[in-house]
Amino acid sequence: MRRLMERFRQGELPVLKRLTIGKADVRLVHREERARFYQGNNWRAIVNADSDEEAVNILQVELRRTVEDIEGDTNNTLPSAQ
Amino acid sequence: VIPIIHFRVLNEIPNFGEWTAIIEEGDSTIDQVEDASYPHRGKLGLRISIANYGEDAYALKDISDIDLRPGGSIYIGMFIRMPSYPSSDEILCSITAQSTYVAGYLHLDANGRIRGEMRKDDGDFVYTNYSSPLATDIWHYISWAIRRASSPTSADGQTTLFINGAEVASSSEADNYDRFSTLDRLLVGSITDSRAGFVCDFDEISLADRMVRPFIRGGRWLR
Repeated sequence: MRRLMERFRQGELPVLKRLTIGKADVRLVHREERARFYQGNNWRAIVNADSDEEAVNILQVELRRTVEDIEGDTNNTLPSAQ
Repeated sequence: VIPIIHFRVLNEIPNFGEWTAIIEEGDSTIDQVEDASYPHRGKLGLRISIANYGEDAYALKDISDIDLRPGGSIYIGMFIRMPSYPSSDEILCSITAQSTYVAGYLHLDANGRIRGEMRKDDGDFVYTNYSSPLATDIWHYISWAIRRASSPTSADGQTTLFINGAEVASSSEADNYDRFSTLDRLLVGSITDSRAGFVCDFDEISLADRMVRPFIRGGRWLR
């Protein structure tokens, strides 16, 4: 596990699949049981899911959340409270 | 009364198998390591190490299947330990609800004090007071509770903080009924604006409808 993580962080794992999530270029570099290892621009993620599609959905929400948390802090009133 | 435990993560399954995902940015890392394990409870715990400012590292758990009924509560429990305080504010845990927006933070300041923060339906936050500084290099059991308001017109939602089983602070009551109608994700680690050099261990992370009594040996907290 330690060696695998080192190679993952060093970007030494071969690319299995390239995809675009939102505006982000994402590379799937490893699968092991339910775990899927993804790399992006200066980030890495391990997603535990039953399929690539499910993993991408999880990742998609997380990438969007990072952006929206920043933008949403200034305008985040629920309709019922307005 | 026995708590309903929605999940408890002991960090024992390889590849962070008890988590939905882990995220690392830049040179920051999150690892399952023996040194980060709470004593006598398995072999591994979670350690985050922040390399540079803004390079976050955290674990994520999908909690969208948990139904938080009106007037109901969630208790997020965890053991934490840090060798030193962060250089400035850190977010150790956050909960998202209503799709993607952050609905609550567990906040650690540069003096080693923590507080709970809960977002209201109008978008503002209410806060608990800060705890006393958490001593470095020993384990502390944090339980962070959020209660959903009992009706759309009741401003009786609240967040409360417990350390080692004792209540230390609670916020004023507020309207959070809609905000917490749909839970989304729980994030644990160094979530946002992470500080260079910050290291923290986490273990026994749980989510329940009331405080989960952690494992203690002989009635004493293990350090």
